Amino acid sequence: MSTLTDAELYERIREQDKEALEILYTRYERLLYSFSYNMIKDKQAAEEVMQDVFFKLWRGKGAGTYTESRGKFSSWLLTITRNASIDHLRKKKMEIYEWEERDSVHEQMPSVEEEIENKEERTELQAVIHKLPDEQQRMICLFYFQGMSQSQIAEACGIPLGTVKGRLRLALKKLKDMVAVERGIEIE
Amino acid sequence: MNNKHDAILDYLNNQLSDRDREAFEYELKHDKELREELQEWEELMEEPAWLLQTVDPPAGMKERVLGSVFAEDKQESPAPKAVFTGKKKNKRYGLIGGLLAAGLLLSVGANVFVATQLQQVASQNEQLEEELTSVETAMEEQQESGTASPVVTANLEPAEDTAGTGIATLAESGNQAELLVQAQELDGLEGNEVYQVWLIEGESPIPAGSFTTDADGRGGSVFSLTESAQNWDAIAVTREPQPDNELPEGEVVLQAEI
Repeated sequence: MSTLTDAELYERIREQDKEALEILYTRYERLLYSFSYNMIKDKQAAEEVMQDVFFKLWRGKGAGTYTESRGKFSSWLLTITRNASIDHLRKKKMEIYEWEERDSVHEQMPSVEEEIENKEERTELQAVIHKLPDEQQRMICLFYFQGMSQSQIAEACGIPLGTVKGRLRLALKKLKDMVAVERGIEIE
Repeated sequence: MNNKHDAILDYLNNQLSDRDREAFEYELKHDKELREELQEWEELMEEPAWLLQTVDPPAGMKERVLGSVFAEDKQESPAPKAVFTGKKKNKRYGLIGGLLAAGLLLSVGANVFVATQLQQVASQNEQLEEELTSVETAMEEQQESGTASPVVTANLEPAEDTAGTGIATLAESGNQAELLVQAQELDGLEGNEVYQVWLIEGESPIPAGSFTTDADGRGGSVFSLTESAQNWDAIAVTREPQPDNELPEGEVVLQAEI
């Protein structure tokens, strides 16, 4: 069964196949746990996120419902994990920065480098992100690692709300291309 | 957000209110362009995750997580089949409570159908569940000590390769019983087709009645039954070529054990 694709495993999970869930868990444990831990910086909380994610998968309802029309399973699974992590941060009121205060005292804002380096153990990705222009680094940081809303990003970056999406997409596309190159080099 | 496409970022970052998120997910189901854009964003966001420094999971996490998932699931739904989410209520209600339930639910449903925007449809199933809770509370208030009757509620789940969800409620007093079925997101009917509701005892389906849907795939009705609600094992909804079939001809669309 371990050779089954993610989608095939998911179908079996829908039929309450415990072994299928276990295989999927094993396949994604490290990626999802690392992803959540990098956002939350709390091992216990990251484990709770894992439990939340896999409970949703097992129930297969609401946020735990995947269809092929949603695109790649792994992308969808990361979105679920990301949402659970952000939700956890919100519930625990673990706001990383007081954004309103930061915006009003601009000179006290940490640099992009500080923001990224505050999240230790991100060295490989950090190196890639540093190759982007400052504004793109900041937007990725706020959106990707801080999980901020569109309006919060606009306010923090001092840009019109309507431009956030376009600029962020551009930044993420560049980052994706650069990461792909890095991963390609590693594979070779 | 005025434009659903503008809500993508906040959806991805879980920044939408429950209502807006449900509305967005409803749009996702019906808007291919929106789905494709979301996929594009998710794939953009996936790539950096592979470069994050990996962290060793704590020892024993797998056993804890999966053990908890399976244990919690067992507590929530003792039935072995994935499709079953029904629950039996042991409280006893009078017939007036059952009728009140039907009236309240239909009234609320009608208001939802007529007055709300499309976005609200996405959350209808949850709303229905909440409404059922309210109905049951009202039923408790209306309880008459001498006319005890059980009430069963069950979520109707789509059968394989079919669309739709719904809720069924059985209420009874003595030999009289009422079955309330409310469904949404069903495929459109053609010609004389109807959705027919069946009560199943063992392998024998008994027709309860039929209903049609509106343009958005929503429909339901209250059916008066002649047999006790305690006899039934399951409820099914099939799509039939014509009303009043004595035996099902079409495929099962929705189903629930009770």
